[in-house]
Amino acid sequence: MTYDVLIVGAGAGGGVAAAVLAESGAKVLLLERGTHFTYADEQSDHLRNHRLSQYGQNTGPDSGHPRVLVNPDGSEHVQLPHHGGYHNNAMAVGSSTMLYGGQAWRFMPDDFRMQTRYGRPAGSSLADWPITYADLAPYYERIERELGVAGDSAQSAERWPRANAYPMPPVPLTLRGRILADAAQRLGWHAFTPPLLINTLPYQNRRACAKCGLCVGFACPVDAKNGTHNTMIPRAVATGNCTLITEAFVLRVLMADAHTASGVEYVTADGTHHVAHAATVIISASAIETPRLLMNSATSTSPTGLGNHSDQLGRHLQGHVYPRSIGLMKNPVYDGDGPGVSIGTVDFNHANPNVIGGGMLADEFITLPIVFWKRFMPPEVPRWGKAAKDFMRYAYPRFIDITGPVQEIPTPDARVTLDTSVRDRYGVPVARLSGKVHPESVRTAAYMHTKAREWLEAAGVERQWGNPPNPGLSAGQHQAGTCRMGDDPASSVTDRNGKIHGITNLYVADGSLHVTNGGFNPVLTILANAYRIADGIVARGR
Amino acid sequence: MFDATQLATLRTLIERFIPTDDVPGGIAAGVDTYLIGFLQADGAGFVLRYSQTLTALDAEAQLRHGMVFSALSAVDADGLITAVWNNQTSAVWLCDAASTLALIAEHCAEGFYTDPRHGGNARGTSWHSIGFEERR
Repeated sequence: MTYDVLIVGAGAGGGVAAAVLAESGAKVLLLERGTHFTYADEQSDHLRNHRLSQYGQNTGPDSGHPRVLVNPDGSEHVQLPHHGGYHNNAMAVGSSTMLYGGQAWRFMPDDFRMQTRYGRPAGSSLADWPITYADLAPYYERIERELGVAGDSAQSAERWPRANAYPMPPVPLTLRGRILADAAQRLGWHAFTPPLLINTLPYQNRRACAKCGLCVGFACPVDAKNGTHNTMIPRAVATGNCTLITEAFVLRVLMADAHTASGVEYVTADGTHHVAHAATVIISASAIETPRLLMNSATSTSPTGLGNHSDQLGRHLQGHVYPRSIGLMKNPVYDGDGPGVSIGTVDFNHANPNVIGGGMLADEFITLPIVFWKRFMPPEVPRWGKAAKDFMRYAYPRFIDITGPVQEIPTPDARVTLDTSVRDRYGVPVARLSGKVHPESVRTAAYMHTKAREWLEAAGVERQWGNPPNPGLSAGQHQAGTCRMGDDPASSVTDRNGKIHGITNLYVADGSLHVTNGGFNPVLTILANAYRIADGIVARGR
Repeated sequence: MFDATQLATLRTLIERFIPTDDVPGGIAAGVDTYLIGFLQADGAGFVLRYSQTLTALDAEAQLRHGMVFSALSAVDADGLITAVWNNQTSAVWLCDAASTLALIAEHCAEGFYTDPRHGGNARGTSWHSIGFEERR
């Protein structure tokens, strides 16, 4: 069968594109390698989730889909999906949008013009987006309304030009949030409740948040967390125009000629190979799998991959470095109310002295006890015996941590390539991840770490700990940048419409398009940009 | 998987890693049950290291105190663990002593501080003690 539009990946970008295109009347085929994961499948396993994947995770992929990580010292390691070096995103209908915490930040106007504002540091590929905040603003509004965002409209409007209020009020301050709000006031900082893709009121026939506290990494028990799995994808299917096939792994994009995609070849769970044809093909497989698929679709005229005409495909891989400081208050401050995050500041996203960019800082989602034990215990506390047990009992109710995503300075050397010596269960070369964050990202993270410490100090912590981060590669669930948009084909993979340069009908709609990744959780921008791209495809008559 | 002596050593080690005070310790919470299950599944690759460690701990106890590890007083057991944790060993160790003890301590924490379903946090013992509540 021939479809009008074929979309690879039912995550954030693909889910939105499916709804916009199906509602325009297009016949859409939406292929997802994962399953319809639901709360009923959720085991709430504290060791096997997308917050702590110690021995596995609650969605796919399985171990038949490894990757290879190249460390900065040149050593190579095969990574399974639950290993940290895999840089996994959930494999399911809705992808990570059904497991995330749902921080729903817009990027700031200056996040779209980083090179203009800061120049291009040596060794970096810092650049402006080909579009501006104003181009994306109408789509931010639509996503906030159509998926459902709870936020502080007045505070937001002071920083982001916006036409309408959020559809729901923000989550209430937790006890920690009230302490940090007072501290911010003493410091003269502006702090307010982060916008969240979580219902604070019944919305679109689904319930309000039950404050369970297991947001990040888990499915929502009352379906109050808003992703594409419970909004845009059901909308797409409800039109009768969208066929969703799960457990369908796309092997390659098929080309009719050098400039025209004709469809894809995919394999289903029973091992059967299929070919589907479409007039327009959209890849929304996230910033590691999207370039991998395009590379694995190489042809004689695109020998290193579709869209790799200028050796840009797979480069500029970025995510977010997270500085974190953890402090202990004299008295208990834990009230157990989920989602946990309730106050943040964007005062340091730009205009910092001698620092490029910056980032958002906020309190944290409720921390699993085992995550506290593994990641948050100060180094000098013994990991065994009465001292360890006593510290857990004393510190867990008293700790506050401040963290947040730092805007990374992209580098072309952080990249996705193919590893032809390691193949997945279908015999397809796997993604090979290499490179490391730019030194300016480390410097900005160190600066933001001082701000996190300042905030905790003002809150009255008795002590605090945590070192500024100095990671190798950064990607993770915020992965972005590997098919960057641009007006110049010499320095980009797609044009401003998300269409791959030189191919008339092949698009990308996911975080791969991000030229830079903001100092914020990127999902609202991925969702809004996918809406914009799909809207453009509709407007141009597909 | 382990012989009776090794099992006794493991249970003693668990209780020293997560000792009983006014809150139940590792054994009362079921960490031994958790670890056996873990070593038969995701932790199968660790069995040899565990076995070597349990044997070496007994050898250390024999050399230092003339008795098996499980017969040591809490003070002596803690002293021995502290020494081994700092790589002050006398017996033959077929694996790295300090890092293996740290690994086992982490596995014990994984049993004790995670969901009771796994068997190492019976009745939510650890969660009650720190104030964590899973409202699902």
